[in-house]
Amino acid sequence: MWRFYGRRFLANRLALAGASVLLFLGLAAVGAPVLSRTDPNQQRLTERLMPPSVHHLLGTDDLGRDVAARMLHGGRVSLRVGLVAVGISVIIGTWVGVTAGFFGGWVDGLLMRVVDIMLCFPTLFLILMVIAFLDPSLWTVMTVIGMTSWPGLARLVRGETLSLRERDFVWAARGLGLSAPRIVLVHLLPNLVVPILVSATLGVGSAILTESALSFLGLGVQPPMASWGNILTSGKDYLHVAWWLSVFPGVAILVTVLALNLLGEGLRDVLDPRS
Amino acid sequence: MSLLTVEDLFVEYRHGARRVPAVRHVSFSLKEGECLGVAGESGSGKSTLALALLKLLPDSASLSAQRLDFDGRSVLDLAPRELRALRGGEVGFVFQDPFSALNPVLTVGDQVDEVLEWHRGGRNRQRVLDLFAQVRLPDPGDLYGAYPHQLSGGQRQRVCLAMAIASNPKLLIADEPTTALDVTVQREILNLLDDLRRDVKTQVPHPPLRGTFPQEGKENKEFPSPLGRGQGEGLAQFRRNMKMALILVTHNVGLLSERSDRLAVMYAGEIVEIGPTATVLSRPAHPYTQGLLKSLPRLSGTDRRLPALPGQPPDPKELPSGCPFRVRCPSSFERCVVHSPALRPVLDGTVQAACHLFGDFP
Repeated sequence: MWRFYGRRFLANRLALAGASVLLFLGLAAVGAPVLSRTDPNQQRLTERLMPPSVHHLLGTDDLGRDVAARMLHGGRVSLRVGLVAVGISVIIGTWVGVTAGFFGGWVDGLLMRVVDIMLCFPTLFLILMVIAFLDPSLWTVMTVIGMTSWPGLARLVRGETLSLRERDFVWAARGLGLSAPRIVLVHLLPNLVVPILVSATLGVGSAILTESALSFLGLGVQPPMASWGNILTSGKDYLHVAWWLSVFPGVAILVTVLALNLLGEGLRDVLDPRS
Repeated sequence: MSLLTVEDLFVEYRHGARRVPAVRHVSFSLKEGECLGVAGESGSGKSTLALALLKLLPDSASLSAQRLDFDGRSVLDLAPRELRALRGGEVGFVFQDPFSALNPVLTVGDQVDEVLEWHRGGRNRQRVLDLFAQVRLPDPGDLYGAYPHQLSGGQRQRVCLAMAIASNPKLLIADEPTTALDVTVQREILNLLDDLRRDVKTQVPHPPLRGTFPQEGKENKEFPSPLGRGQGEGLAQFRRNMKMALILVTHNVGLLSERSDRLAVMYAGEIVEIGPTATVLSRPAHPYTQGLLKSLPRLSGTDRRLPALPGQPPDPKELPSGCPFRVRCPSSFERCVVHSPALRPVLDGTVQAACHLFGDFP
């Protein structure tokens, strides 16, 4: 079974490319402290806005900090935000979706109206509002992104659950005397893994984008802690003198999100039994 | 003592604001170890009846009955927990379509083990393999880790059967268990049902058929075939425990002729005739049963066009007054329009039919 999927995955070049890029980024993020011995927050005011060179691979910023080191550590933050936020969103979204879809009736009605209300708000605006009242920190950002990005997933899971619920094997499980929680656990969730996995992969990309946008607006990860978003912010004022400050984090965000989207779409193709 | 007693069972589906009856006035009883065949056209309510016996109906259906007793307990009054213990525990259920009745993402062994865990208090790999051998699946050891899509239709139905009999039920309800299968496989499955039901001690499971399982042809060293040591012992004990009643629902009367002890013919949600299979088939009393049997193709038959029942089964939303069969009945008369006939003993008294032709009304 897994070997079969493995072969199909290897045959899907875009997904493979996405996975390779992400593997590289993941290793870079995990190994950041080893790869770069330079302290990302070490200021050297004598070496401000130095272009990329052998000494500073990606140049330095307006406070003389090494951009390469900041990128590496910022990548850790960005990926962490993506993963944790999506983790939160998957837990809430799956729970809401399965509950609504499986039990139906007024439970479904209530939960789906909540989802509708959540979807009415422009997400970024909602996050900005919440963060304006809270203390903007890494954990706040991750939690808030996670708490606002689940409605789409909940809808997806509910839809899948609705169709799974009427499948014969779920009726057969009822006929075999299994209780509702048991049916959800044993029969529904394993069937939901693929759509959730695909949606989560795409979700990581969008969470990273949201975090970057928040940091860019100054409400995300707070300096001096580096994130791709706030490196980009600090670079915008020096765009005409120090292009490397904006281009590298921008490209990093672009490549990561692109790789995640390629992987997500690839997984969808690979794992979909209908294709 | 009767295992199952049903009296005046009704099932209605809510259809918008209306209530559409699917099963009406159904009464019958089933003795321990007995096999009841339920025959009828599509839409005659036979599947709904089968599901209703376990209260296994969608939310849109409502069930009522004077009595619905299984083994001395009223199914209608069971707590949800007791009902779950009944389903799959004392009553096994086999669904029509083995292609969709198994979870596609779990291995078949896992799914059978799941039933054991739920009803027998723990997983038991050896028991699963015994069950696989019992339903004559080739290479049970290899099949344990197989996914449903790797199995043929017949093999899947055998797995479903293994799940249904996993906890030695007293009653097995099979809802058209062979409809989705090839004709040759149908016979095998029905023979298997017979064997499972009867207390056959001489029956030795077929030897495993090597190479018939469509997986890459390699031996599974880790899980050798269970038909070695200790196997016979488990099987013998299993067989002793087995004295299972069977309700076999089908639209194929021919299948029932050799197998069921009694036969119930359903029409428009009602049982119109019920009695010993041989009697019903040789001397059908109800005009519907007569028409049904006449329309069966026979090997010895001539080239003559088969007589068909005129018309269509009635729409359950708009049942005719009186007898539901009267519009298609060749011998209907005035009384049929006014009164709905009830089941009454006819002929020698072993058969009951719901028809005014046998009435002794003034």
